[in-house]
Amino acid sequence: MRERFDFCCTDQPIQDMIDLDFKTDETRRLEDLQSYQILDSLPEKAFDNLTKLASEIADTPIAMINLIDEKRQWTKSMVGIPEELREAPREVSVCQFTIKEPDVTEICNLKEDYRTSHLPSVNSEGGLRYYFGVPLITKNRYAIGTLCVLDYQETKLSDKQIEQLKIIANEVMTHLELHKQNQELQKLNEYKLQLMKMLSHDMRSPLNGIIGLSSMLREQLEDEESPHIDVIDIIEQSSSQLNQMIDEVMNYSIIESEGLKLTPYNVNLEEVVDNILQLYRPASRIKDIDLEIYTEGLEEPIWIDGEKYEQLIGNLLSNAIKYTKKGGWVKLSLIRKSNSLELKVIDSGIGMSSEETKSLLENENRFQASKGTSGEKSSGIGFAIIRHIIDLLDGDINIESAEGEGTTFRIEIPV
Amino acid sequence: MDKKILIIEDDLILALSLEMMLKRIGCTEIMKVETGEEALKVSETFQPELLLVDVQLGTGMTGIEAVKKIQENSDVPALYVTGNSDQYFRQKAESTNYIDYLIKPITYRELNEVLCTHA
Repeated sequence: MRERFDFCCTDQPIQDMIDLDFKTDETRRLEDLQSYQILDSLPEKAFDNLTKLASEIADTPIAMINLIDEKRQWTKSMVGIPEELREAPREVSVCQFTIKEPDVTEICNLKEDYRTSHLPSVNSEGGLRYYFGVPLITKNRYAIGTLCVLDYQETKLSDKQIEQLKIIANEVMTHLELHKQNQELQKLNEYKLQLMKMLSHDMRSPLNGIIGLSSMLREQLEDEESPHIDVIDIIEQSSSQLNQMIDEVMNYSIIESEGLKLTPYNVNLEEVVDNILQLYRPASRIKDIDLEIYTEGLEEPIWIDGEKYEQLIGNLLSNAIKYTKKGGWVKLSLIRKSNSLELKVIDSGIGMSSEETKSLLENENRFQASKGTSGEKSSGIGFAIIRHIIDLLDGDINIESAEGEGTTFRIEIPV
Repeated sequence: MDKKILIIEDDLILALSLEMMLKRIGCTEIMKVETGEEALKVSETFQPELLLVDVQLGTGMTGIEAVKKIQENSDVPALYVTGNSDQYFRQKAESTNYIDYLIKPITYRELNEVLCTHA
């Protein structure tokens, strides 16, 4: 038999199946509620819109999305209720009854119902009279809360209104599920980034050994005029590529997990450039690439996030070296203008077609894998980092490139 | 170039590789420790002429803290090894007596150059 859990205005059954799997085990119900991590969260527009809609559909002054905790009723969203009533003891809430039932609860006169007549919100002068609540039932079949509407006068909802409120309650549940999934994904993402950080960090240490010792072996072989020197060339080249990739993965995971924060301080950009050169000279030396630097107006320290600049310039240089053939050149120019910094990295490299340039600039988050001139593999993470930093610094990027002629990256950052 | 060098490095591979490079450069007396605490203990008896120090040590005090402590009783200079060249590190290092810093990965040529310049 269909049943409607109301206590004064009976008759018409609601055109819905009663949930036969509905469970009431309180401990499990509370666990299920906790898993949504929604209690005491900040207001969200998505929920507020639904309560507003519910109040309009039911034509009642009050609509709420309530969650029933062990000891309290906590309101995620409300219309017509002051903020101080967001939290109430469970025993004075009407919704405590709604979550016991798999279907809707309607109380046409709260003052006359034996369960609610004693409640302060009902008893007081001008108190509440009408209540209609739809339980919010989870995938595990527990009612964790309600979508309810209330009125100060007796009223009666039509079947159509009830149907619509049920649809809204469904929407509330969908949002809660999404909320939960989102949090799980976030956790997973954090874990993934943590793993990336850990792996790249741990890979560095043996690699430092390989790079250090092969550089020593080179000296020895050079002294002996050994014919095996080209073996060392390859070891050095591949280990330095691997090192660069690890750097990129590490930087990317740091940017992703720590978010993009600017920590400005007084920076001497000439020093920053010197540091970067120290890092990239070896790579350019290996490929016999002439690395030329031009700076202007950098004598005075500037109030900027020096590390972000270091990462940005470093990534641009590493990129340019990667795509420039042996014997080519890479020029870096950094000029302080009246209210901006102009950074240019120009190379005599393999260049890009206009389609490639366009897609590099347009595809926000896709990594564009490609190959460098010595077979260096590029994950495309480097450019993702470049873009992240430029956005953070509020800068503009412009790429000019011609296949076989080279590429110019021009970046202007306001300071 | 022969100098008594104390390597303070918790990464064993890197420590070994630094030791081999130093030997090739001509240093005959080299000692390796993994922590700042150990460095403090041995530096009194070993009396190094240069500290080759990783800025980030896995446990206990940082490389810079260890150098500071050692330099309270001796004027032995440091050569830092670091994973990055950030300003924060350089500010900290300023309060110690150091000849230079090398950014990982360290090549033989770089190490040799720095040691020859400051020999």
